[in-house]
Amino acid sequence: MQHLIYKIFAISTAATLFYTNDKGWSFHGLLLPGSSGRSGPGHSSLHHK
Amino acid sequence: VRQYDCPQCAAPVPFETPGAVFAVCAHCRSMVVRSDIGLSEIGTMAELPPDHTPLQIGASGRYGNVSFKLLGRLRVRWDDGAWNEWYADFGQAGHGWVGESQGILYLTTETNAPPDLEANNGGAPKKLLLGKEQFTKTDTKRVTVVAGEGELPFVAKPDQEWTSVDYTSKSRSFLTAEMDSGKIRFYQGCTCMPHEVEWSGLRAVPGWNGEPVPIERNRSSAIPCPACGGVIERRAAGDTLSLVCGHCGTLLDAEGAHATAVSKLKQVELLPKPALPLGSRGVLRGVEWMVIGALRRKTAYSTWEEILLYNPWRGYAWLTTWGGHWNFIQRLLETPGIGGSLPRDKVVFRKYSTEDTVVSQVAGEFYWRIRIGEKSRCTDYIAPPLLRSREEYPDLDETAWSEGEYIEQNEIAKAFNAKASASPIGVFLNQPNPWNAKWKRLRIYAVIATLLLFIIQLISKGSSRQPIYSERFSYQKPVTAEAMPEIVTRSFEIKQRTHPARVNIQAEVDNSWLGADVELVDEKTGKTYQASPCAEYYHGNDDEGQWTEGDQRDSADIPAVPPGKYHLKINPQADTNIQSSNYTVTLEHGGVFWSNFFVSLLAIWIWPVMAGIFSGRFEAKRWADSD
Repeated sequence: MQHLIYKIFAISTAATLFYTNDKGWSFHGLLLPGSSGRSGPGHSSLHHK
Repeated sequence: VRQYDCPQCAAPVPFETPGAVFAVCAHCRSMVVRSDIGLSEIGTMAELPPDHTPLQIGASGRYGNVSFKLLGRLRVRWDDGAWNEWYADFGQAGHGWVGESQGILYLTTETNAPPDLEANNGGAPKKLLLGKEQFTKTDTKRVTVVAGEGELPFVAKPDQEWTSVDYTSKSRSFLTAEMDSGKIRFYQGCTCMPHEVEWSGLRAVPGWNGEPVPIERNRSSAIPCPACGGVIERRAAGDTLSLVCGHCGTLLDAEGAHATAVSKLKQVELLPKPALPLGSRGVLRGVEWMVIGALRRKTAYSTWEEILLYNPWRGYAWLTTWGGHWNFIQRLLETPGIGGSLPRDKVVFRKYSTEDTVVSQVAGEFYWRIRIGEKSRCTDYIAPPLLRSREEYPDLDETAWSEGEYIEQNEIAKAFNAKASASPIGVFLNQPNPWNAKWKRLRIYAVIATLLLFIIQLISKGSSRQPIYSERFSYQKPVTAEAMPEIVTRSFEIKQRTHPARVNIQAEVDNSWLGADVELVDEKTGKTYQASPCAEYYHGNDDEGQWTEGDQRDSADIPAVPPGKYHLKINPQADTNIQSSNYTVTLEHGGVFWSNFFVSLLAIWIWPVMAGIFSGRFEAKRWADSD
């Protein structure tokens, strides 16, 4: 049963990857709406060096 | 078949084989000897003691390519036990014997004694080489006839004696030499378990398979305790040698129809409440077993219980239990090699530990003579759920091998209608690892899924990332924050289908930063996409030497940018120490996010990896108590 669940999960993950890539989306952007994937200027820790 | 009349009672006495010279009249138990002139009577054969063997005269068996029919029986005994020798017709292989002892069968036919044995002046050498097979002497005993029935190849009166020497090999091959006044009878064959033989014509065993127990005067399996007079039931009469009186705790020798008190249990105690009640029956994996004995064994570090099971057609088996863990154990007829392995094994056994054990408590009956304080050295080899044990008895110069399989306590409770105890304690040495199978199976699926993800990623990638727009700008530090200039670029076209876009910035920053808030504006819909790349580059010297951090380039990704006409709005920002600097902004379109692939990979592998970690922890617990 657990193996069946895992197989379904793995196929779902592959299908999600395919769909997301096809739409040009990023998981990161989907999980954190509005994020482009990095912080803006002035927020970097490097600025405090 | 040649039939004679009994000289004593005139009842028919059949002789099925030309080689048989001696028979016991089934009607009056007269011993008759056949000669050229007919039968002569030489006395009366003793009564056979009660036993539970399902074998009987006339029964036939087939083991591998060996077929036989039972013609007669000798009941013989030695100092430490008694057993049945069934005289049998092995067809073209001639005549031989089916030895039935302690739940094991020994099928042998007579053959010429090897020169080594003949030349040894009546003694038996420790090793014998027969063909390419090496045999080791395992047993020498003085054998005495107790009783007999049917036809036999020699005159066998009660109390007649000879010396019997047994040899075994690493396989199931078996040799036995019977020496009597300089004469040697030599037999060669093999050992097997009763259930491995295809039988026909077996007798119904009283008390088993719904058979009633007949009341026979002077032949009861129950015997009075000579110490206290209490009635003790013998559940495996015939093979039982040691019996513990449950009333007074006296250890008894239970050979024959009577019992003899050996000693009051002192060094060993009466096991007051075995894990399964004596006399209880249960069907375990399709076989009905009766609990006939129980003992507690201890080592320097632990103690466990061993329960002796009996079935007339299967012989003996053991259940061992500790902390809610159970093993079903049977005798192993082969002798494993180094590491506990046998040629037929498909799994690898690993040595677990060697411990000195001693019996501390006993109850019920046993097919060997219990010796108070008897010690054994037990070495365990495991291939979960299997367990193979080598028991050495230094006092007896004897080694025995057994093989067990782990059984869940619920299965035991269901079989014997007993109550399962609390959850088992810790991890037992041959307990199956529930995570191991998951880890091994799931990782195969995970590898397949990884390949699938990789293929999807390559297919999804489609066209590679293509440059759409690039322009070099000059940054001038504004006088006030409000005077920050906004740059609007020329229009450009994205022709590919929807893909991510990437905004890059390159600036000649040195211990400073320069970035830009960039808006990608769809001129048709007015929709904007934002990105904020920032080039920041620092370097210097400290106690550890030179260091650098950051880069003069940076990029930011924008997901799902469809085809269309666009322009950029750029709002540059920079470190306050930059008065002016050149920087380049470029826009690329295409490709896929590899982060998607790695997030998917993480999702796919997290479950198998967790199973692998749990499996490893389970194995660590298993091996924590090994040598």
